[in-house]
Amino acid sequence: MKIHNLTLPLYPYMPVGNVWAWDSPFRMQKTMTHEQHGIEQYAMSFHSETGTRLMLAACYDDDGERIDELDYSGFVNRETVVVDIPKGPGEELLPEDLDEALADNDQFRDGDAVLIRTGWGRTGRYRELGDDYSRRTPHFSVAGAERLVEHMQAKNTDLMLTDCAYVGNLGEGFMFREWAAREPWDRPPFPSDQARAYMRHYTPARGAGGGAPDWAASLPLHESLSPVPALTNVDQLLSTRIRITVLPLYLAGGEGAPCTVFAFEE
Amino acid sequence: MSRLVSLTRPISSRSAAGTLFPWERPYTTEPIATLAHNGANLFHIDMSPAASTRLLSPRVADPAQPSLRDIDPARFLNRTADVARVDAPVSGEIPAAKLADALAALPDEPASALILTTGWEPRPESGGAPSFENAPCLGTDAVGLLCDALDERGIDLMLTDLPYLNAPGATNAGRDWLGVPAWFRPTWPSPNAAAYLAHHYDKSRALEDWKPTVDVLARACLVLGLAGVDALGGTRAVVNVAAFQVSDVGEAPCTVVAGPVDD
Repeated sequence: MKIHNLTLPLYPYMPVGNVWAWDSPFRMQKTMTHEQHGIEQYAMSFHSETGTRLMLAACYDDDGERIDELDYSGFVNRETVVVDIPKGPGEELLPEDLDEALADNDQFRDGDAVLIRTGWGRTGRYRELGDDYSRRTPHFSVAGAERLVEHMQAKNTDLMLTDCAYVGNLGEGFMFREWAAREPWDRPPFPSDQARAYMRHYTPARGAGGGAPDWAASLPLHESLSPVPALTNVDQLLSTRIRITVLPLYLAGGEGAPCTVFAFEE
Repeated sequence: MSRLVSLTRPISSRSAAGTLFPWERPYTTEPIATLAHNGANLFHIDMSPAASTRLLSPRVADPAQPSLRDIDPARFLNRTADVARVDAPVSGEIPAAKLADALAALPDEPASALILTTGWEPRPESGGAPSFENAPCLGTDAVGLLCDALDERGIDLMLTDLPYLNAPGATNAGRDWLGVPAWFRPTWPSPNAAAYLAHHYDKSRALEDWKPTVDVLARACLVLGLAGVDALGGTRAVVNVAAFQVSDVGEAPCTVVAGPVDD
């Protein structure tokens, strides 16, 4: 049995959670050090969608289940099918891609979690690309997201994992050009005054909240599935069938949370 | 599929977990985006591992040891654990004899992980802070017994609902820091906490305070602050411990779920 850690490591300003105006990048500060105290302790800050994460309908729906309300029986040692849909920078996962990968796939069994591997999340790429790992990630088209939901609902399953860093449309209408495309020093992250001001102006009328054209593909995935994006080390998986364990940071009332993902391969 | 139970303390700004010591950063949040204004819920988080159920490795005291992320995950996943139930007082030191009784009741054929439960929960009516300060804990004799049992039984993963192994108030930091009202000892990142840690808490005093924890870590990785242990039935369970994947550290918040053996 081989166990793979498919979770992005959290280090200061790691790219997933360091690009968009709502991102509060992962940061840490040592409060005690080996050198001075013989013991190391630290404080950290980040935001609810930093790194590899479990996303829930509650992100867009106050009536949705929260992180500490889930039954984790379906998140531990879950039978999972791995499907390959190779994609390059910025490319979309289209309905025909999902049909080809899932429609007649005899490895895709009832109740399986689905791990969609584009190749983007290969080992170490996040460090090579920095913020472009997030800004140029493959992602779902709206129709592709809707088609994926159809395929998964037909198999009575709702846990979807992918190595895409983000699943929605990458702020195509507004946030990409207004914020993410700028140099890092021109977009100081939350809790900067600039980020607060931008978020005051970023309303559903301007693409927020899953509104087209910024993040529309994200909505059907959240409404019907539990997406787990930003997997890494997926190139190390050699099998089509694996087991997956996904456990999030146990945030009371969390509408989503960073999570840890392990894959078990025979 | 058997239903799993969470043994993880929900991380909440209403919890007093992680609010005692100057090196602890309480869990606080601030909305970044809200459903009402932005059509989505996203929030900023500040915390330290002590605000959560947490996993500690020898790296906490020894930088030469592997970081949590570099430890073989098999050590934390699908582990069969013996459950030792200690008849603990509501607060204060657990008598070594009671710990010995609990350890003596373990099966002869040991599992290589151990869950030590006391049934302690913080008292919600007080916000939990005094409870954490006075939670049950292990004295020197009890820690020695525990270390012997870890050695004898080959245990390399130990989990407990104790928030700290030794009594917070009996430590150097506890005597210095906890003796005044909470409003005179704001936790990290206050100037008070920074000044205390920079100038008044040196290595010898810190290592004296942490000795029981370091002694256990020399033998096993340690999960502190389990919650909901009453849901554990039987004398054995299969546990999964998933640490928050912070790079290059020996301690991190973790999520723990457990299920029955022979699932």
